[in-house]
Amino acid sequence: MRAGVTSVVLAGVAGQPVLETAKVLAQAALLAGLDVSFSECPSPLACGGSVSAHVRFGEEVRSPLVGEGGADVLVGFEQLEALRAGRLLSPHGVAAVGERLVPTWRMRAGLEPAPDVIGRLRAVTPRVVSVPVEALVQPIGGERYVGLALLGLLSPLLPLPEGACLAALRASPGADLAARCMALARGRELFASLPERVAVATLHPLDIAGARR
Amino acid sequence: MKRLLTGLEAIARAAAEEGVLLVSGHGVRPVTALFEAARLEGLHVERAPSEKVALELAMGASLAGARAVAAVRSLAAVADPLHAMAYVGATGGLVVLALDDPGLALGPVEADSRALVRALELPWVEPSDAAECKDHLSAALALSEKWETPVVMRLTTRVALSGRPVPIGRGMAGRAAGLRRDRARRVLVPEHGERLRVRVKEMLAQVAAHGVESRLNRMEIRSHALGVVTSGATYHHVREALPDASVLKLGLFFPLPTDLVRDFAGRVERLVVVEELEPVIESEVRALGVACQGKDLLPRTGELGPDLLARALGAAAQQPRPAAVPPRPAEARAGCPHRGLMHAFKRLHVSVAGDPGCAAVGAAAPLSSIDSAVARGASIGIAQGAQAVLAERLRGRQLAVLGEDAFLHSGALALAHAATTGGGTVVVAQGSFPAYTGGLKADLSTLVRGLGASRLREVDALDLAGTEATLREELARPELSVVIARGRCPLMRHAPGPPLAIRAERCNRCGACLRLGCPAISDRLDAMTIDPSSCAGCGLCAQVCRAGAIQSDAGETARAAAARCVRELP
Repeated sequence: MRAGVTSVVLAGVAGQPVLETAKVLAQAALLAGLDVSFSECPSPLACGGSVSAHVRFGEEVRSPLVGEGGADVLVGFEQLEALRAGRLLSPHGVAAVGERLVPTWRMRAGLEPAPDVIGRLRAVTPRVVSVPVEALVQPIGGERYVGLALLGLLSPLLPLPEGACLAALRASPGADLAARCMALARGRELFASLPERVAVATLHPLDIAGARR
Repeated sequence: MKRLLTGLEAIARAAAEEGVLLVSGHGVRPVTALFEAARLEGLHVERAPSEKVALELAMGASLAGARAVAAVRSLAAVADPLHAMAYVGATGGLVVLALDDPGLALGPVEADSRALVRALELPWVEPSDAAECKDHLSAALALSEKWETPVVMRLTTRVALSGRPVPIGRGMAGRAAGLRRDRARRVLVPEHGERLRVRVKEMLAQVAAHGVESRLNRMEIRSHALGVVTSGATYHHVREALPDASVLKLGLFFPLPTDLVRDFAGRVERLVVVEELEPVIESEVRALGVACQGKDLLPRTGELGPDLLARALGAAAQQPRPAAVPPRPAEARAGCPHRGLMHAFKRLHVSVAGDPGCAAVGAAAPLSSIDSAVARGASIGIAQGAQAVLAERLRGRQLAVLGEDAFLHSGALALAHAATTGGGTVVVAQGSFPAYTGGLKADLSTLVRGLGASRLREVDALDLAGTEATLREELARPELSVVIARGRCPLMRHAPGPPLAIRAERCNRCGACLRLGCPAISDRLDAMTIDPSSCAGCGLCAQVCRAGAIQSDAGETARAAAARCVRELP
């Protein structure tokens, strides 16, 4: 990957606001005066299927796609899709994944076990956290705020000014602006209060910068 | 000022700034995203029932002297009228967006519309990102007016759905010059055609010469060891994967700016054409007598991302294949009326000709009830063709199913034909997601009768017993019969019904509800459960439960819940 470019992958299932969250991050990078490129990888049908989005920002960004092992940050809206995006995760990368796994039919019917998502992701990088984010956003309005809460959680790690994501949210006002800001803030609070775990102890902005060098 | 826009949003913005008076298209993704963006820009949007109608609307606007943009997923579907329009020529700027899908991000067919470049005799432009989408649309409109020809702007899904900061200018009010009488040009009879086709050839030669100095084509000389000729999204992937390579970036790639290509080829030691899908530019380059590489190094299917380019042309090593992740096929949402329909089909043990739209959710396990899904609106014709050769062996053993949008797209014509040849049973699913139907106002029952179907029945798709019984009756009859299955797409349903629950003491775990494939129902180790947060309360599971174990939280009996759900349909 290019020096000085941060690559973020967001992954979830169809219906989750993966692209909307990616746009908030991209807007935050734009407001910080950086070049930015994002891309949506939609589901082929409107019903079900995987959805992901790539966001890349830095001084000069070329391809909108994150290559294999090139993602500095993975935002997992859902466990199985986070695992699918795991091939993009860098060995120096950080992943924050929600606790919900949306089972496929084979899993619901007991024909196939759910994979050990966190274990397999930790084989790529030790810096993987599973976050009880669904419970966190329940009082705010439920599942559609999961992505923003995860983005808030990871925001201190991104090479963007503090508050950039919040400013980006405010730049695109909507009916639920207050709830969206709340989700972002709650996620941000979680960063400070996360339980003491190896992955978290190494979560520091300098680590991302160091890995890139 | 710069705003973050996707490719399609940038096109809508450019249309607003260039005074485009009409944006038309056929409502499939990603065209629907263009509609949304165009409406936000205040543009006049026409959602047409088919690609052909969409193109004709834009042609009409152009001949009336206005600027127009038409968007189609499959350029092959409109090749005939578009080629004729090359002869007639555009008056107001006319740009046709061809939305190709390398990598199958949005559909089942990986067509390269560029394979038609020689057949269509039109200039083609291709942007690399959202900023270029805006810039190239302006250029294409100007090109169209200067040479009085439609211009094709080819976009891949990657460019259409990727975003970048795009400079924003001021909007401009468009105007239509008015209809002009020019029969020698606008009436395509053979004696006019002969003269007009010479004009088209001359126009192409002029555009090829223009392409040499056009700002859409640009030579970037870096290392002399490797020169890459490319266009579209792959330009950025090449810059990412091979930062030292010299690049000839073709934004106006057909007709090929021959002098520019020769000049570039002379400056580099090794010339490689990097393009997704078919070797279209490569063939044009080779036809000049310029030696190059291309598809001998790169695949002809899928998207050419930076990883693949670095491996094929750079020094990067092959990555080990990651361990498999369970696939997530598309599935009908909780409450989707197609689930009821597909379940009824399965119980009938008939062969079902389907449609690649929503009905395709019936192809996967556990519904497994669709046997073919070829092209939009094709199911009726395909079922009729099988009937024509298998005759009695298929009588009463085959159904065709399609959505109302596909029916109006082209299925209706096949139904009119079926009415002349005899029997068959056709199911039209009504109430699909409005983004796809385009809010069409056709009265299906009147239309079906008018086309000559002898029998017409209506069912509620969520009423399993009623649907199955009606279909059995119609399959047994020899005449052509149409069954309209009413339902409502859960994507447009604002307040779902109260969720149902399984009473463990009555459940014998037979798995009948599970085999509906509803995302809300799962077999936990201890019990069958319905996830109340994803249940839409449609009542299908209550109808298949023979133990009577499924009822709503409110204590309603299963049958009552199911009946209420059916009643509440529009």
